[in-house]
Amino acid sequence: MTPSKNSKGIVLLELILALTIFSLVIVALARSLQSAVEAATVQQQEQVIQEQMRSLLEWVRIDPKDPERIKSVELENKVKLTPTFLPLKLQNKKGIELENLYTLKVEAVIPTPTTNLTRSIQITVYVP
Amino acid sequence: MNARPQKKRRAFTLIEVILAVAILALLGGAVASILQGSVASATALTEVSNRQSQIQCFIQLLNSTFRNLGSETLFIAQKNPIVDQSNLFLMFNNSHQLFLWHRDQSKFPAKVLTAWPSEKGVLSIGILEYNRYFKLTTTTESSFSATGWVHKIELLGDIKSLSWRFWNQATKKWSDDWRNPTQRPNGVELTLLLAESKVPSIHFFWIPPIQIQNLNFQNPTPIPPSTPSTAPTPPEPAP
Repeated sequence: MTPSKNSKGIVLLELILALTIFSLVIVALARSLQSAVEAATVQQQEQVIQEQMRSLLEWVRIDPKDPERIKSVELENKVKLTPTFLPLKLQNKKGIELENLYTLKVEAVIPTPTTNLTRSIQITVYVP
Repeated sequence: MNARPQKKRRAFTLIEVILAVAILALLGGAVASILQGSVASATALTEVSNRQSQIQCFIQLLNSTFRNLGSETLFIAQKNPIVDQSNLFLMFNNSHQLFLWHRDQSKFPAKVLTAWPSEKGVLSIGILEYNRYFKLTTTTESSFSATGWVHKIELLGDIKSLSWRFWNQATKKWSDDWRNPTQRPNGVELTLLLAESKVPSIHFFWIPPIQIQNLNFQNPTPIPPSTPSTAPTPPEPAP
């Protein structure tokens, strides 16, 4: 290898520039990792809320016509669960409307810094 | 040698090197702290996520169990008078189809869902499998007897405390146990306080209203029980 004629050391400015670029890349990577962690945390909280929605749905299901059960519940972090119990209109092949069928639904409003997320689960129940 | 010396070539001065090293240390420290924070939160999240998955699996198993209680399955829940007054035994008689494992379920017609103290000083909850039906003596004040559990299967560990309640829609009241095998509670509530948590989580399970059809079962050929180690002792038969 022949040394180039213009060979010289790295000047301080180049070194600082390289280090700055390197740290910018690392910071960007760390931020993306952090945002992934935050997204996973939110998803995990949603799982917990999903389970609480299921519990409430099953509690209401025992006697959905009881107005005491169709009440909103506020959880931690201002998450609000609201059950609804509405008649379901279905017809058979002869056009006869099926009776005593209802849609039981629990809706959760999850406040986040940017917007309010809404999640819901529902089942169809037969309540004669 | 006829090397031509470069005109402006010079080495770093000490000040430049110190300055460069100082800047490098500052940047390195900042980057390291950011990375360390991210990695630590990712690790913590992984642990919490794994734990959450265990709890979710357990809750789903309970949910499917209570929801799919067949008309042939008898269910009672009572305190274990020997080991711990606060520890309930949830007994499922003729429950081949419940808590499905890979083994031949027809050999284990009775199961108990209960908690027991673990080595860490906390509770574990799981299943005791019996190779005999429980003998339920009366319809209002039931008790059971069995020769001993054959298998103990832990479902969830690291529990600080837990409690059960049973909802009776006819009386619209909660009860702390369930002693009538000819009826079913309309719902079961489990309150769990996990070792790493300060707030208890409450889970409610709906039970389908089914008329119980048969109280009398015949025990299959018993399997020799394995040696119980740390599981709670089942109560003795009622006199």
